[in-house]
Amino acid sequence: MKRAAALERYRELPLPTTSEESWRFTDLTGFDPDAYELAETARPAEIAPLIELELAGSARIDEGGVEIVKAPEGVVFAPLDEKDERIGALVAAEDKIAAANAAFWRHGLLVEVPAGVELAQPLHVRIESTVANGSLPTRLLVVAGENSRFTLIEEHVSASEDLDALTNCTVEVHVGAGAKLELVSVQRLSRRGWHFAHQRARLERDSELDWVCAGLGSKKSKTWISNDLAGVGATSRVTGVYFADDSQHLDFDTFQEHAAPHTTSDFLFRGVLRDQATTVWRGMIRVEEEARGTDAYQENRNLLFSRQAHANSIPGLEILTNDVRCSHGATVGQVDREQLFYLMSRGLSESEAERLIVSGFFAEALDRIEREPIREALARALEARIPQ
Amino acid sequence: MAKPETDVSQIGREYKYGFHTTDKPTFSTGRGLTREVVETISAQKGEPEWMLERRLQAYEHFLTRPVPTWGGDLSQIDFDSIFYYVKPIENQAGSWEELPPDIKQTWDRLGIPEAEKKYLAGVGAQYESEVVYHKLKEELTNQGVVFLDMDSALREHEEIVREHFGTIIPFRDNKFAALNTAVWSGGSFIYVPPGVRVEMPLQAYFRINAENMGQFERTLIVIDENAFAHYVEGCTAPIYSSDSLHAAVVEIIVKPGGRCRYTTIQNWSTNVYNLVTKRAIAQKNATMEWVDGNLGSKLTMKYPAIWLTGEGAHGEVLSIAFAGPGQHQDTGAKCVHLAPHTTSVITAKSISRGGGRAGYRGLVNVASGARGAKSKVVCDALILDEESRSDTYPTIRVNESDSDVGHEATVSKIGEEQLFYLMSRGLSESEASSMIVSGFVEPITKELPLEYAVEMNRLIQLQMEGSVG
Repeated sequence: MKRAAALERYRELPLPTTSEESWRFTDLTGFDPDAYELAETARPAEIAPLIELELAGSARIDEGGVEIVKAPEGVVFAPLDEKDERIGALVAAEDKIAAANAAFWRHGLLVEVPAGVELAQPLHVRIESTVANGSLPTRLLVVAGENSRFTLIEEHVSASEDLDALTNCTVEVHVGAGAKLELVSVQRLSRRGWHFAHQRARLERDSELDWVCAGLGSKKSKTWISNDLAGVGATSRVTGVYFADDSQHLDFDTFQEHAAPHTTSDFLFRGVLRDQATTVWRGMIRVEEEARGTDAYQENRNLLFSRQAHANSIPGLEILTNDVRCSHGATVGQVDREQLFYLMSRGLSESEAERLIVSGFFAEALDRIEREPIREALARALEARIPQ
Repeated sequence: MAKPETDVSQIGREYKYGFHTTDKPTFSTGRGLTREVVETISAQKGEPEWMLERRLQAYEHFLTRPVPTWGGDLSQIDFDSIFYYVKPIENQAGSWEELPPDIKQTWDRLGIPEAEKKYLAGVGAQYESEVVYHKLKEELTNQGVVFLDMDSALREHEEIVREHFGTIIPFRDNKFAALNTAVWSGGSFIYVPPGVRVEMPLQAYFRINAENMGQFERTLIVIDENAFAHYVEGCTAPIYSSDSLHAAVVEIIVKPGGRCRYTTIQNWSTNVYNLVTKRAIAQKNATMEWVDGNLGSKLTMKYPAIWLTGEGAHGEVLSIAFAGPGQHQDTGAKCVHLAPHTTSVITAKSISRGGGRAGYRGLVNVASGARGAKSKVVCDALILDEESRSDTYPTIRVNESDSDVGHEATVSKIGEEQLFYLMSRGLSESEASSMIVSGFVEPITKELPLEYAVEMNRLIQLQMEGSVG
């Protein structure tokens, strides 16, 4: 979609309201996208890394542009050219948020791993929001060539803990036939800003996507995670972890689209809520008529530590053929007081006991992550949210 | 175990109740809906002024509400071609013999008079817009139980009706609740005094006979403290080439310690839009149970709700939906926990075949302050062929950490291993499929009183009737 058309669409569309199904529990009242200015230059910032890893390639994106810190060999890892024909193939301008990104995105990264190439070490891109009252619309295009194999870590961070800014990122992922992609998306923005992300992957024949999403930051955010299982035998696994406290509001909107026979998807999301936090998890499994032999699963579990926390869980199934195995589960429950009491009776402080329960709760999700440094970094980041 | 004689592939192909008679109504408002139609209905009934005012307010609201765009396809309903009020006979009968032969014959063919003799405490029979027959066993009348059609209740117990009418489902609730409030006619009114237990079911039977009929019955049930009643409703209609509309409103209040069970066996013909709002309030330690079987209709959108307003209240919904060719069953349940230690269980089963679409749409809402609330939702769906569809749209909202809410759903086809096993024991494929379907719905049918379980099984068997196999 051309910028002009996207801009027109952006202007046409009203801001979503809670009368729209997918926004029912996420109220944008008080959000004024025009109050955030597109900044031209970044403010220098020291941001500690989350994961210590040997990297095959790394890049930084901020208001000032794209910096390729380390270029990997044999792989396209470069600023995204706005003339790239593949832009918009998966996420166009379907809503005002996506339209805003399509119209205004300034800096983007193209990650293209050619057919047959395997990278032992991960690629890493960090998107840094550094300007107060600034808007940072960015775009990632990831292309995994046939039978390629690699890991990409995508991180959203803020320059300071109290930065009020707007970030809007569109991520389009093409997983070629037989490719295996591990994608790690970590959102640890300041808890004062707005964040939106449209992320969609398309999987070709016999490809595999292993996607980990961690939601920690932002004041209010909505993240779409969609998988199109477009090729026979494709498999996607999405593991989500989130932690919301204070008055944070985190919304995850997931979609498992089975459009080809013998495809498998497995979505597992776990979240912890404290204080007055609110979370929304929506999930839809859709199995098209031609997707015989589908095996689809979705699960969302929420653990509440506070009487004022609100968790909304809206799983869904739309199944248009019969040769399927589809199931879902969702739970919202308070922390087990007896468990807590037992641990404290064994000499643990309340926060130590909570931390133990939280790490146990997340372990089942995090255990699905193959790379140990990533698994441990996320476990640490989640546990760090329990007050000492 | 009885050996099934039927073939799953025939589900939804046979409809035994599609006949109609050619009786002449004594009065009709004609096609379409205007302010005058609303006024005429009220005048025909000689209603108090407040009810006419309520009807007119609701009518104005109906006009302003858009047709919902979620759920099923409602765009084909032609509101101008519907008959909103048809009065079949002049006076309600107290015995079946008093009815005109055509109408009596209909009830005989549906087996209602016979059922009444055998196992019912009371019967109401609605034909088009009016309840043409009504009777309650004398010993219940003596205990203070009131079981009347809604129009009579408004005349004889105006104060109770006025106190509760529209308090559980105000006309602003949704477009079809507004429509019902504007043009309601018939339906049941039940009052069970404190401590009285009505052990045998009270039954209402709803029959549409005319083409393009709109049936808008209104039911209000008040179960007083520690009382109990089981209300059963059934419904059928003839098969016509054009559509009819059924938009009922059912309001229930279960007072402290009371229990109400409301069983529906909906078997409208496949040209009926069935858009019903049902909601119950369960007060302290009260129990409300909806047993909701949906076999017929073209499109059903119905989500029986329970508002658990008193501490310790319990709600239970058992829902079964069966969608054959051309049918869309958008059914489900809502449980809203508004008080501490309230519990709810929703069990939903759906079967779709022959291009039919069956689904579960539900809500569990735990309000802040409903400490110790527990809710469990289990939905299972069977899809019998490639053309059919199953949807599950549960919503869970929890605003109270001291609560426990869970939802599970599965969708599958008939297991090949199960089929193979049964066939290895000498059953044909169709017999085996039929047995698996019967087993699948058993958790619901076993909750029905024996006679209704038999009826439900018979209905399913009827729908499965066929010679293949």
